[in-house]
Amino acid sequence: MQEQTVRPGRQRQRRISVFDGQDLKKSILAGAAWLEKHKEAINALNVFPVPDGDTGSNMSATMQSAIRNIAKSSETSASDIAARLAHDALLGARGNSGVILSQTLRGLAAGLAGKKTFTAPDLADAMQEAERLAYRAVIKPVEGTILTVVRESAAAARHSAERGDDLVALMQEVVNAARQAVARTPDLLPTLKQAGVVDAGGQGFCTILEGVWRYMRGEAGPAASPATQSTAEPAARKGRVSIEEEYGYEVVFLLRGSGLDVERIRQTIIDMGGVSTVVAGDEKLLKVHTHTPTPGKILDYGVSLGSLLDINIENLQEQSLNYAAESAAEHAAEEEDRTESETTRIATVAVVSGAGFEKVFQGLKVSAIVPGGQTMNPSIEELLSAVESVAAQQVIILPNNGNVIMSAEQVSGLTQKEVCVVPTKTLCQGIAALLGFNYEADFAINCKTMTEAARHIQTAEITTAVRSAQIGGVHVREGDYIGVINGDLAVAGQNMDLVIQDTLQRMHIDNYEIVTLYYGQDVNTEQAQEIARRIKQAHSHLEIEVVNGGQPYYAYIFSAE
Amino acid sequence: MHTPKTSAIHLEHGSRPPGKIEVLPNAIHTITVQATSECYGVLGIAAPRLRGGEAVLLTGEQSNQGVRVHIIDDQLIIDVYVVLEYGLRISEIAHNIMSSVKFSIERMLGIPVVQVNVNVQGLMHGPVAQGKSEAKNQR
Repeated sequence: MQEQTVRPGRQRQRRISVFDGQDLKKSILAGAAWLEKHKEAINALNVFPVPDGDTGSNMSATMQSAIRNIAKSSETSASDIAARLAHDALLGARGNSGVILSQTLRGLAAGLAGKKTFTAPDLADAMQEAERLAYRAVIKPVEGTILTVVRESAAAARHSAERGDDLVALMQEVVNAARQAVARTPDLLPTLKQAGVVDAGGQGFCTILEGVWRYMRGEAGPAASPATQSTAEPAARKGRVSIEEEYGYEVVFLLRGSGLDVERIRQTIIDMGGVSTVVAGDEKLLKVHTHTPTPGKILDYGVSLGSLLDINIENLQEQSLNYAAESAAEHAAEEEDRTESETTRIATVAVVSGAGFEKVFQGLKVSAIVPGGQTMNPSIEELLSAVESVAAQQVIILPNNGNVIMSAEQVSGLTQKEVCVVPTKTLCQGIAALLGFNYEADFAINCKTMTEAARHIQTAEITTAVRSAQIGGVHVREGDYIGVINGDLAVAGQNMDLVIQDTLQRMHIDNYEIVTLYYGQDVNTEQAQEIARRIKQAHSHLEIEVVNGGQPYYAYIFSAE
Repeated sequence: MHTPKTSAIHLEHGSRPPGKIEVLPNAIHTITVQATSECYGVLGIAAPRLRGGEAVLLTGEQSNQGVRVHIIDDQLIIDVYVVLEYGLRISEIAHNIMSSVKFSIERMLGIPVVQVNVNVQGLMHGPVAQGKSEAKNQR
């Protein structure tokens, strides 16, 4: 993400002066793919001592929603593509940063309205509009956030366009400015400085711009559309690609000549077998884009009219075959998963992290597991596809994390199936709820008893702080052990034993009888047994069970009932 | 206006002298207003009552009137009245307000917030919605 800084003196291979709808589509797809790739790193920037999955995932989910309809579109008008993009971003906006992102895309669409193709100055104007709209919807713009990054990249775009730069150079300036703005966010926002990070939303926006810029430079293909799983028709689920007739070679070039007739050239290329053909420009300079099985013929024809520049030929067949093979393999694995639960009437879907916990949940006959939890909240789409994958018509979801509950609740509006979310905030609550599940009872009763069962469980989690911070009255230094009770930070300290004792005390451990200790992937059985022995010494009436949870981040998770 | 009771929080910090801290609802109002105003898409805090069918934007000191606090068993239920920007996803902004208010109050006061109810009193266009009319939209 923050790889090499851009060297201004570097010579460029490409100059692009005009973009059409398809070019815009591909650059946005590249931006979305680049963000998707880095979302975990952005999640890690959230200001809280435990990495708390949201900004990166939220922005990526918003982007994925934005591109879901344009990904397969062959629309050539930039204006139409941008409008579609803005509309779908609005519908899929998630989180604060996602809403801001959707508003900037709306600004982009307003700026490109009525333009079939656009040039560098057009893009600068559109970014200006994006900035204006972004700032309009907030009464107290906080500097040092995504808004600052939006503003400074728009300013860079304006300067670059005034200098007469082409699209590639303009985007390079924009990315440079965005990176600098991100780097300055800790100076503008004290909470960021306190936590020692840059702003996650700003970084996310910058990452999208970087993806677009990489595409314009020709470094990244439009990345075989990463999120086709959100498409409505079930056949196209999980990015299944069927080889369509249009694949061959993608040919793109600029044609310089005099007295060029756009209409005639377009018609001739179509007659020669070109698919998705776009010819745009004026009588002196044209951009030609087409898909054809015979690129040679098209180039010969081009040469007969004038001189060719920036010729770019890509083999689409190869790309799409690779992608189809990958998605087929993924699909087969998924098929396997779903055969198991064919017979159940009511299905359960749980969000689980950690190999040991997965085993526990499987042992309790959960119908489907969605991997996720702290730092990697599953998207609504992932939850939805798990719900759709089980055979039963009635599905109970166990989110097992406070941050997932809201997404889980959204699922019921998106599926035909009857969905109930039992609001479990921790894995232990999820286990308690699942233990309360009764195959004989009907759906409504199960929802009630499971929610009830989950409520009686107290959970404490022990982990280490990934960075220094001050949350509420609790001062945490990087590397400190911290105790989190039912999702709230309660205790911090450097001695793990003391932190554990203190945490258990706070959850009034003496009022409970059975304690289950799940130890994480970085802890061995002996260490866990030792901890259990010491707790037993201090609280002799407790029954303590030690289980290998295999969870990441949390060294120990205690559940008390 | 209604006068809710003060709420008390008992600090369970072992090493500190025992004592009681009382928080007046006014403080909770202020934190809520602050947290809500920083949410993206919020154009203002509004009065709970409409005037002539339209939302009344509150400014400055008045803003606290756009927040109602109920205290039940030392737990808080908060109602907040807002005006949002037109053209954004309202449900998502409302969710953002809920989590932001809950987070701020729990972090600053340590009192559990069980509910945040967001009442959208109206939507507003920024001044140059369709690229025309620079006139300020005053409501």
